Amino acid sequence: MTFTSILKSELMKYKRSILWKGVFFIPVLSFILLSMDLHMRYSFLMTDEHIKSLSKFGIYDRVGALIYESHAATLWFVLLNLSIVVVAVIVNYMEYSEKTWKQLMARPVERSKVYLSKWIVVLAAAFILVILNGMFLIIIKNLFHVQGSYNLILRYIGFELCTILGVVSFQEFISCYMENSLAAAAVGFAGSIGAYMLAQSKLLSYLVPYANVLMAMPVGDGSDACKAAFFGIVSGILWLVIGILEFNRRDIK
Amino acid sequence: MEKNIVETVNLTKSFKNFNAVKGINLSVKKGRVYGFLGPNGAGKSTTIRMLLGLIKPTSGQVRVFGKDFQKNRMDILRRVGSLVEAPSYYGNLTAYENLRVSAELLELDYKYIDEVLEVVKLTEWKDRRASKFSLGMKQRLGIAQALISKPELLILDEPTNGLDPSGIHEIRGLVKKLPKLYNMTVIISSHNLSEIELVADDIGIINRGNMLFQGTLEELHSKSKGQICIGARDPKKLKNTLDSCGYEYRTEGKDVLLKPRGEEPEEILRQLVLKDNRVFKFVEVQKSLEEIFLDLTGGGENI
Repeated sequence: MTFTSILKSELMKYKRSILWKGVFFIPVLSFILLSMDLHMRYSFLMTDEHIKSLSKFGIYDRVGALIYESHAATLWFVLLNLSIVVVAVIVNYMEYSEKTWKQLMARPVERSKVYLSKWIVVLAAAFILVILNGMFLIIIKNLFHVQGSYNLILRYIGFELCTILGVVSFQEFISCYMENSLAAAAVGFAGSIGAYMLAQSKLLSYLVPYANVLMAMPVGDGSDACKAAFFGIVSGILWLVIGILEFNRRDIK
Repeated sequence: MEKNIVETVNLTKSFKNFNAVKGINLSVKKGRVYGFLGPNGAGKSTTIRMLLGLIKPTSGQVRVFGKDFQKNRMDILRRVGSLVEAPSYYGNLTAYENLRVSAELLELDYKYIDEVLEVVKLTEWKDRRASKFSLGMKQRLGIAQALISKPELLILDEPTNGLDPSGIHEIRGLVKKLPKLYNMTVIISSHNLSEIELVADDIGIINRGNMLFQGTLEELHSKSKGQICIGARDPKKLKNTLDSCGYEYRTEGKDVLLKPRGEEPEEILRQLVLKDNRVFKFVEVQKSLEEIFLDLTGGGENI
């Protein structure tokens, strides 16, 4: 069976599921939170004094302050990580809850293609989340007349797209590996919320996929975000390969 | 000679400290309904999962359509339809949409969907969500999914589990007509002998991972070595005589049931009469299929 038909049949399964509604709702929620934040605190957030105080984090202009406000203050990085966790859990829970793995794997399909099709669904959802959030940032920049270049937002989107690869692959691996979807969700939730703490260590901030997303903010010369993007891509590939190998060897009970 | 569609050679599966299937040699002939029988936990589902490549055998070989399964998995599965234990479906989708997922995956024309819905009598409910189906309807949807590719081999693992008598009757009718309708070979597993007896041509009995019997239904019946039912005026004396002669027996009401160990029945009767037993009943009785099954499986104990 071709990969296209496997992917198409995979996408058909999510009709009437909350998956895609959630994927569109989360960036909207983040947009509302950021708009409220800016509406109430614009006069403070965009002052020169505040921008100066942010320079210790490597933020030197108003667009940087806007990204900082979105990414860290309104906790977009947590929402993004959590959303990916939920999507990966739903994608796999769908097969575990009604024991459809056995029906699927008793078909003439290659296991690696099935795993890859699920990974692509999670990746597509993650990409939509990032792109929508980026678009909303641009809308807010225009709505609130935030001065500065769009370049920083585009770089930010780029870094996010790279760092989420690790989260997508790792979360897809554990959600597929663990029959208990609640356990997989718990690992993801702990990782997403603990990312702040994990990022206190330079080493862990690169090694833990959830912490990579926190580091995606293009502050300073952008070297930290570059490294996080690099580690995001590496762990994305690594966990994808591990996931496929494990899935190929697994007994479907 | 009839061609074997499925053959296993010393098929074994071990999980850590537990041997689920112990070197079984299964052979299923083309165009037949093969009943795979055994108590719960006997190793039926593990064997079926190995036939479908869901789990890897610890040792042994599976050959389907004359080809080695490991080397020809895709080719073989293209010609196989299956329903393993409980029916699998996506509850958020309708019956039609569930079948569309299967049709898309197998690159089949959507026209087959209506055809299989008709076969399993679900056309009327094709737009109802599968989560709202009764167990019988879910089971029929599972069979429709197995049939959609018009397989040459259909494997049904416990298809009547949890169904009420009318549901069992419906599934049984369906299984019986499939070989004629699609010219397919069917393997159906169950722990229920009476269910298998009504649909199967050949039977395999498994318990604790060992294949205890394999052959036609008639061969299984012929295994029923007769028992002798004896009635005497003084049952106590009768038992004393049997004890002194070293016979093994069991009592059923006032009757004594004796399993001859090679002795001719007339010889047993002669011994009883010579020892002054007033025998009024001496009948050879055939064992029912259920009794044969219980004998073979050691009482049909679940594991």
